[in-house]
Amino acid sequence: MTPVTTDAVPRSAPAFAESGLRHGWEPAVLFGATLLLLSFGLVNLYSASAFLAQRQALPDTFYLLRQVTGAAAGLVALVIAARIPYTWWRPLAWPLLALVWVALVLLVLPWTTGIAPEINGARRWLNLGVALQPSEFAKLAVIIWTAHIAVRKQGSFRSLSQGLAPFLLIWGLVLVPVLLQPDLSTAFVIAVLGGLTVFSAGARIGHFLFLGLLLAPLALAQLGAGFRRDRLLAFRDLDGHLSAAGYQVHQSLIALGSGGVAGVGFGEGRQKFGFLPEPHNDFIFSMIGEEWGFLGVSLLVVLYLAIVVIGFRIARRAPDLFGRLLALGMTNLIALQAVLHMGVGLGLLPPTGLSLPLVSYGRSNLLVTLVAIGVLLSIAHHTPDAEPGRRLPGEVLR
Amino acid sequence: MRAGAGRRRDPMRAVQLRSRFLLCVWLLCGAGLLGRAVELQLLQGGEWRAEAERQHRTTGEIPAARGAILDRTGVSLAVSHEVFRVSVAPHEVRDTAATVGHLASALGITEAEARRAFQGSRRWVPLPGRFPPSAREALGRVRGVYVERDLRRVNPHESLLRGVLGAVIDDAGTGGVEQEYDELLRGTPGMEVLARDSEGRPIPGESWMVQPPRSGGQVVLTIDADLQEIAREALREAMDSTGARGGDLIVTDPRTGEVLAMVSVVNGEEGGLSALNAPYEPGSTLKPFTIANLMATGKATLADSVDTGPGHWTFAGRTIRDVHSPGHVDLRHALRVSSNVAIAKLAQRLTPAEQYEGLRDFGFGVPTGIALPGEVGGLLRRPERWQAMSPASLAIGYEISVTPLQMALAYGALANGGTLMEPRIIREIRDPAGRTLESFEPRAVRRVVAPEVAEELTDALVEAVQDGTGTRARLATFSVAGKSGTSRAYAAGGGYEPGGYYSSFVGFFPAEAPQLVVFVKLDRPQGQYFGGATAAPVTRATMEAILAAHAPPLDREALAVIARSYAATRVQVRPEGPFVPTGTGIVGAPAQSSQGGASPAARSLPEGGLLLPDLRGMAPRQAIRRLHVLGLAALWEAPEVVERTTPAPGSVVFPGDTIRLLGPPGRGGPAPARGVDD
Repeated sequence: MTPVTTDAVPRSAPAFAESGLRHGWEPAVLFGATLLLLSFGLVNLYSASAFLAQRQALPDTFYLLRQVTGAAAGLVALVIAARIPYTWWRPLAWPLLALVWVALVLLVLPWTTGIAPEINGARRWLNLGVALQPSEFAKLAVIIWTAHIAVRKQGSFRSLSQGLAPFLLIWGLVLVPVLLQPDLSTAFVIAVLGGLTVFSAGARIGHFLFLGLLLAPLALAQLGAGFRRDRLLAFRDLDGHLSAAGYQVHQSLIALGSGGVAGVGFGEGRQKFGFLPEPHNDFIFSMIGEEWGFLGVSLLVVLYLAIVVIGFRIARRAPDLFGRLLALGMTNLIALQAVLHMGVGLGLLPPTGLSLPLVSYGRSNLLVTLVAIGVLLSIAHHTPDAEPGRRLPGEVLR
Repeated sequence: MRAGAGRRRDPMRAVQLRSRFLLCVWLLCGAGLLGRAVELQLLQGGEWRAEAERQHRTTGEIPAARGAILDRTGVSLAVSHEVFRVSVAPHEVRDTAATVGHLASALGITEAEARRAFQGSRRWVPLPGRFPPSAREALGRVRGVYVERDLRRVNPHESLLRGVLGAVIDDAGTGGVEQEYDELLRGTPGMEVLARDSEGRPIPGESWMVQPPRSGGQVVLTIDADLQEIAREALREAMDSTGARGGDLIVTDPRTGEVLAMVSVVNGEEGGLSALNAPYEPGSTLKPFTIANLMATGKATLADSVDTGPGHWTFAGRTIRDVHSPGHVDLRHALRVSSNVAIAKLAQRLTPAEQYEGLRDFGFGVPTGIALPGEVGGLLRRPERWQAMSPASLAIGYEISVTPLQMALAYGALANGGTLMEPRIIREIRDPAGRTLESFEPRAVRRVVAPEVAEELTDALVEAVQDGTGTRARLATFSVAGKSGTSRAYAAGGGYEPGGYYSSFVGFFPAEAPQLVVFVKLDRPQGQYFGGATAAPVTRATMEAILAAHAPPLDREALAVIARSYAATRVQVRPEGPFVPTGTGIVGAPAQSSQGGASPAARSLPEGGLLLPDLRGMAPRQAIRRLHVLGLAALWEAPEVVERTTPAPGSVVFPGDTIRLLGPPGRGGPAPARGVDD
């Protein structure tokens, strides 16, 4: 093995200028899978939301058209993210985090209901001309920031106070307003994404175990509160139809199960007529399973796995540790949400309100996911032309 | 394999291992998801599909068209109309202009009316009015346009027969024939399977008919719509002229027991059936049955005489009075002048058992069994429960309560030669296609008295009409048998109401071979309250109008024979009261001559022809009655007031012609519009 002693940055500028999708097959497949998921998602979003929209006295294409605008904006953002060197995100790590934190705090301040109204018992949207969900952007900001700091802390991971503690402090600052929205699911996703990034960077496993023991009672107390407890209890007692949440999961299973091998046919699903809650969002996977059957489910799982595998290949070939951690973080972002969403739909996990990336209705989530893909593409573009699988040097090696 | 030492030596190696581990976790998650999908979708698919089916489908009833109720001649009295309501969901419509045009042409509304549905922001706009099945077919399936079927019960003759027909409330027959034959009329609803949403609302356009509905059968009544109209108008007019608050009028055929017309008005309201369910004390109209009883048991003949003394007679503490004392009279005369004293005294010859059984045999005290709901039997106490005065009271129609229908049928027994008939209101029932399922033949209940007794009594009743208490029921052309009655009305709280009377008259004609029994009872007429003065003219007016009607259920040939012999043997008596031309072909000759020189125009009239009177400005019912009296049929198309007639007033018409009564011009579309646009 011949260590190539190099800096992270210098190679990027010339490579960027002529970057297309010519660096191996990965970027092309990643982009293709993304477009496939996006278009499959839009088609199914119409099927899922037409009835819902009409019941709300809106045109049947209301949700579809809004999502299309989000997809257009997202694709522009994807191209921009793919074109700019990923290293530019490092100096932006702190400002981005600060910006997101301010937005999150704005959501929960008592006197900001004018721009952050309460919808369905939670304050998640910031209305600045366009309604944005700051917690979606928080996912991105936390991954970038964690990757950035993890690179710097590479040497101090052995110490709890020097290694993990600073992360916990900052994550905590971000998570508190998210929990106050309240949005337990998103807080969980953000925490797991941060944790996975630090774990990938080499943090001690003992620290995670210690942390787990520390947080267990807190987590249980959280779970005991309000509707979240109902959901968990209901999840435990699926067939008893004890509560609304149990009903939701049961309806999801009916949708998926009745889809069979090839589904009941596009647009022919019945579960979206009020049986599935949020058929365009929280339970769109179930609706796709009903209309497209096992074939549709397999297609989704395979496409997400393709994105994950390519994401990990890009990470492995990233020019430096930041690039690698960033690629892993972005891949985890997509993988985690997809697994949680599909797990809920299949009755494997308690009902949460998570989106299926690139498919569920929600423009903030769509934008963030497409930016994540763009960042992955950017990292792929800045990979030296080397044979696949080759280990790349990072800053740590010096 | 490499411990902490290795990781410290090569941190990049740890990063590599951990990311591989993470990738494996994600791949395992993917495998787990796929495995669960295999379980749910491939292995358990059938069960979940069955469960989905259970909650997605709902069955709905398709209402069956309710069968029609027809009169004896096939005139519809109550029919179900299938109409459709049309609603628009504007936001679902793609091409508004095309849809507006299509709606306008298919439904026959103006484009402006159709466009109105698209103005404003409502999601669901029902178009006003209801549309016939033809419009529904023309409409077809249009995106955003929804059609709902609506079955409506329409009574083409409005309230003509409200009491007998009953009503349909919430799809269930309530009262009258609608209730009695509800099961037959209702039909069998069809079944459809509908796709439903989570709240059970059907999803438009997703339905499958599993079983088509079967329409209800038809019921044909013995009622004659024309007679019913005549009876109704006669009763209404009598109420107007006497101030009575209600009354009953029944026309039956004594030979068959068929009810040809039946009207009840209770406190000014039609719709009840007091003819069946409100018994009253009949008074003098019961006397013929006491006499029939005496004759049948051989206890007396019409020639037996009795001394009425001073005109009052005290029996068991009760004093029975006559208005004028007739003195020493025979029974025939006593009936003619309706002497209470004479008949009560003679009734002493009957044992209580004979008296009770005689009345019971005429049908009093038990329901007649007519096929209508709510009939009561009235009150006739068994002899054990009689008081000392009871035989005398019963003889003159007190201490007994009867229904008007019982009374009409009992007179029918006298009219037909002594046989009590079972009343018939239903002629036959038919399946939806009009095939007869069952027809009801006349049925005799029992022979009550011998034919000779009935005949003799009929003669006596003819005299009562000729120059007794019922003279005002006389007809010009036929001999009428009948008897008037006046009895005290019950007060609401029990006992008799001071000054309140029921006036009644029961008559049948022609006395030689009776074809109709007409029962009239007025509830509390004001001023003159004797039955002979108030109810008898109603009977006569009714009979005259029936004779003049277009096609009454009468045997005209038999009538013609009787009329000729009557004209030859009796002095022609001009009827009092409303002028009734008799140039109707029933009894042509004498009437023709009486009308002959009345007007110059009449000279040029062809034989049998007459001039159509000016009916303009009249209420349709009034006009129809005028036409019926002239032997003309009416086609009623005027909603409120007759504004035109076809042919025009003054035209030469012939009995049996049909005259159209029209409303204001311009509203050219005749009858169908009534049924359809509410």
